[in-house]
Amino acid sequence: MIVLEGVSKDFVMKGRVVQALKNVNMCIDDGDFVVIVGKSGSGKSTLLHILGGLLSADSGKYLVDGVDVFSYSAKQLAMFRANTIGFVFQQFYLVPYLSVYENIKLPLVYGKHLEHEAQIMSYLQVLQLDLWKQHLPHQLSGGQKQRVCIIRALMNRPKLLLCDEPTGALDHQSAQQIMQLLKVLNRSGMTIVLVTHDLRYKSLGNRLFRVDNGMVCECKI
Amino acid sequence: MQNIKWLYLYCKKYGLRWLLCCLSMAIAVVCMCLISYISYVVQNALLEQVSLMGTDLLMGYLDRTDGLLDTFVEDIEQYGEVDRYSFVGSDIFYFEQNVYDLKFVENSYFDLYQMEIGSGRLFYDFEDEHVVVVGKDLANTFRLHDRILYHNQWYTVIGILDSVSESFYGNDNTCVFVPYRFYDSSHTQLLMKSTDEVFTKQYLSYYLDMYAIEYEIFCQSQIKEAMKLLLELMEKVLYIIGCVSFVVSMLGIGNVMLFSVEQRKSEIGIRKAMGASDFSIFIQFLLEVCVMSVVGYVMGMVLSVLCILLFSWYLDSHFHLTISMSLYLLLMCLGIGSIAGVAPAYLACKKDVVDVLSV
Ligand SMILES: Nc1ncnc2c1ncn2[C@@H]1O[C@H](COP(=O)(O)OP(=O)(O)OP(=O)(O)O)[C@@H](O)[C@H]1O
Ligand SMILES: [Mg+2]
Repeated sequence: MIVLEGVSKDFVMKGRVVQALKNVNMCIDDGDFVVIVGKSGSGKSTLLHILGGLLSADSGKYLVDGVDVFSYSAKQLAMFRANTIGFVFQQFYLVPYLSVYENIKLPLVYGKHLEHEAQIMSYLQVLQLDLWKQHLPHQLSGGQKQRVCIIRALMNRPKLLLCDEPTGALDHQSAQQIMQLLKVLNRSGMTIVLVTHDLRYKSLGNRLFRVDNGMVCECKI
Repeated sequence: MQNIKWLYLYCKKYGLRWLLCCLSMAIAVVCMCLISYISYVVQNALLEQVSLMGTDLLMGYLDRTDGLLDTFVEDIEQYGEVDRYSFVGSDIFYFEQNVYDLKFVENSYFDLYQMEIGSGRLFYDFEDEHVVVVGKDLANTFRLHDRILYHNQWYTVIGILDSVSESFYGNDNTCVFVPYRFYDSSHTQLLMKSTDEVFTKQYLSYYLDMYAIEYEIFCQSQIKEAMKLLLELMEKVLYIIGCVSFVVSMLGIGNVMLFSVEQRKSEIGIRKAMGASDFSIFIQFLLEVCVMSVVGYVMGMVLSVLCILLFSWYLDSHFHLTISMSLYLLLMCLGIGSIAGVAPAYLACKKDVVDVLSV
């Protein structure tokens, strides 16, 4: 169970204050598939970064199973990211000099619940990447890269999978595939938070949040 | 271990830049090795020269007209600490339009310099005859039993010396040696060998003062000391110059690492998002520089050995590269590498994930 209580975040840029998040209250149950929509610049990514332990808020509480993540030390935060969170980004962020396989195994170095070799292989097979595992990222298409990123995010068996516009750089068909994949993962019990521009996917999850100018409210699907 | 594997894969893609960094380190290593080798060669050559002058030799310019000097020498022989001595006089003479050095010496002179006869004989058995012995380099000019005219007097060549190394006082290989009894100038040199130079010097000064003889004393060991100091100074200066090459390579490596950190910031971001701690990022980059230093060191050592082998073959000298020097250079490489790597690695590990990932 993930709870945000009165979370606010300001960015100060050259004396100008941008309120990226204003008093956000959210409660995500285990196994939820949360879709977050909102205009550009409304604060969706900021929210996701806070959920992922990459950013700390100015005020409020972030409780994961009752423990306040904001009180963690830098080291504990790293552990939290390594063992609890999976990230998928719009720009993939694959390490360019590592092969697909090496990229996928990257989280295993930092985390402690380790996925088995056999599991990696079956992921690769299911996502039709088994022929590409020795290739370098620049030899893959966008859709393939994003599938690699998703497998990578799954390596530490995350409690919470955070996807920041995972289909932003993909064509509709590849996007569809990725979304189906997320759906399948959710059905197997994983909690997913998906940020998207594309309103077509707003009914993909079981809950929908709208972010507007730093304020978050839950909507009916 | 994982870090090494990543580094290997990184190098497979971006190896050239990396290799150039190693090379700059390697060149610094080669510089140091060559400096060590060259100063060894120079030092050896010069010190060999100095030691050939005979250890603990004293020399003075003395006036012998009043006979005091002879009394003095008698006293020295009786009570002094001097092992051997020889009066030496010098002049030049002309022969077939060439000028030759002439040295009037006593038999003991050859002992002082450990000069051996090559062919013929030394003066010992020729009490009153006018004879000369010539240095090795004159063997083709004068032959045994040739006759030389000097001051209207014919001298017979009775011996040709073996080669001796050039000494500090001139090249004895090109000298013609005449028995001292034919010397008729008023100023003479006295060469002495003693076991205790400082004592002998004091002792001689005391006597010479007593006899009111004007003199100058040159101690070989003083010259040797001065030379050694000079050589050590030269070596130090060379090493400092070598260190400059290390500093240059340090700047180069630091520069490349900074660039690399900048280029790989999305990698740093994603690693952090996946749970890498600051420390593990720091270690990853620092290790990279350290491996770079070690590879540079190994390349440098291989190059150095090749260079020194080539030089020692060319200069016909010994191969010289000490183990302590190699270890010292390894430490130096690691030290310089770490210094160059710390700042970039620190910058890398302190990069803010959100900043890096939202470019
Ligand atoms: N590191 C930062 N420094 C300063 N301001 C920032 C920073 N990150 C975000 N902001 C500001 O916070 C606000 C919210 O940004 P955020 O990235 O969360 O928007 P978003 O909803 O993800 O937009 P998009 O859909 O375009 O990705 C923006 O006005 C942005 O300018
Ligand atoms: Mg965004």
